[in-house]
Amino acid sequence: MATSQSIDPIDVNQMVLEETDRRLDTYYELALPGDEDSPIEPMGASWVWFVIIIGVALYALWLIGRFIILPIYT
Amino acid sequence: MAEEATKSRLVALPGERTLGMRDMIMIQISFSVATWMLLTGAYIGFSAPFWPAMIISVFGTTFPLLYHAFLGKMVTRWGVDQSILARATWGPVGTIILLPFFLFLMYIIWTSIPVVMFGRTVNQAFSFLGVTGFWADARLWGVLAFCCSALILWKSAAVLFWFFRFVTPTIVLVLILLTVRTVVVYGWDNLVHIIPEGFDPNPDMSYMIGSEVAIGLGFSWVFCFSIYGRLAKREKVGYFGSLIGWGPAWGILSAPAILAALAAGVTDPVYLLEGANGVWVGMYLVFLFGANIFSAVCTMYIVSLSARVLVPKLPWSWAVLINALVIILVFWTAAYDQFNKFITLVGATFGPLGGIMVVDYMLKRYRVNLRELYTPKKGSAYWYWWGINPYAFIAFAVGAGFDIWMYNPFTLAVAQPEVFKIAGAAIPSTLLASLVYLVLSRLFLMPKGIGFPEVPLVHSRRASGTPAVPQVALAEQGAVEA
Repeated sequence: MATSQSIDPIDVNQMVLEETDRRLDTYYELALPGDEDSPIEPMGASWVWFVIIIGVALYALWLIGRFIILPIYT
Repeated sequence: MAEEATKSRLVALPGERTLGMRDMIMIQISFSVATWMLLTGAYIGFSAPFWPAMIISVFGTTFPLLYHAFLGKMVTRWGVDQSILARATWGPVGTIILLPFFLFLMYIIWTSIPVVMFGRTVNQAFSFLGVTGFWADARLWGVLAFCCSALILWKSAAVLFWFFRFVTPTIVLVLILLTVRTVVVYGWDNLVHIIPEGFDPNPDMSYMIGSEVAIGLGFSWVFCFSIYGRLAKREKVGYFGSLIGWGPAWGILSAPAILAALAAGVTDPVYLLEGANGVWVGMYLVFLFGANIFSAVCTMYIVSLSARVLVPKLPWSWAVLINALVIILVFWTAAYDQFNKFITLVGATFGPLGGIMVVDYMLKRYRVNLRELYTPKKGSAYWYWWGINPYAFIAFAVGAGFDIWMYNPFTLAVAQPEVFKIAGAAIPSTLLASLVYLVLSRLFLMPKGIGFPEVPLVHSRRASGTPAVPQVALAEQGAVEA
């Protein structure tokens, strides 16, 4: 027969603080942040060039809109 | 604990990363496709004819993100909320100074926009049906929209990921249908040749003002990257998922709002309903219900999560309840009614803010010392001076000051019209702030190693073949003088 017993309430906040502490110690080994072997695949520096090219193309598009397309309609 | 990781200060571990590229793009589209898209789209549509307006929309929402999305790469790498990661740049006290304004206040205002518009649209729909009185009160429906959003967020933050898979395609489908409906009613040729009243008699100036509105939105995501970016499986997902979802996808999907503004000649997208029959009104309400509720949840999530980061023992229900301040803005709708001023201020401040953080992370080679980040006390590595990185604040003041001088968000006065018409204000001010921080950091922080502590690196493990995680001085990274 079940009886009411005093059970320590689970302090989720305390658990989170302890878990945070544990993760701070192990994250580098678990995640290898930025490393080629990292389970979170890094985004290499070469992508910066891709981003620059897209940026230049977008600005060119904006200039075309401003100097060529806008005058057609106005 | 994985559920807790979505709503606390926990570092998200690799095994808890659930979001691939498709999920991330869908989530970010869901995040952006809402009232702020309709409202910003309507303002852009008011500034120029359709095709130039579409260029403004795609450029303004995407170009700023090409730069700021490196914040997404950073949060994915470290799995840390940005309100913690920001300590590396601004210092712990500096972050606490910034958060109330740039995070809590700004995002509470953002949340108010979908909520207010939901109420007004229901009011408009009731007017269409001839219903007036208590049940047609826009404020009532605004408060109800807030309550629905709060309830969803309170029950579970993680379940949102699954809702997004259903909701986003539905929203996109309804948007396409609404575009078709607008074109059928007004005629495509008519729509693309409408010349809007504009924000200025000079079309070039109006084009630039419309661009500033779009750019302001593009810069507004600074503290949003970590919401889902820290749960991304790969760094490219953190970067490109946010970029695509908030940038070009947003820019293209704002077409219905641009068309509506051109057709109605106003900036309030509620008029998208004008002249529609009951079926279209019903579909529009479905769109607004889904899109606005979930968009409100997303911005409320940022506020709640950040509140728990600042006060770790704060119960989740209380963290959600902080958002109730939105109700004030349901009754006092200044942000909604003067959206152009609000978004210009966002561009003036968030652009430099994010730019400085990107430069700082690049200088740090995207490496941080997690233990030091989570130790916000005197003597910790990111303490700087009195808990503040003064050089970041100086750079911010220079950038934001330049922007406000060039294009005052409160008066909308332009200081140098000829320069403004070609360069705008938000992008140059962001670049200026970034450059100033780069110079100051190189001169005063990096030589002393202040804010650039030793970080545990794993790169040397493969080379040495040892399992230990060695401590490598920053000097070996080439960031400071050995």
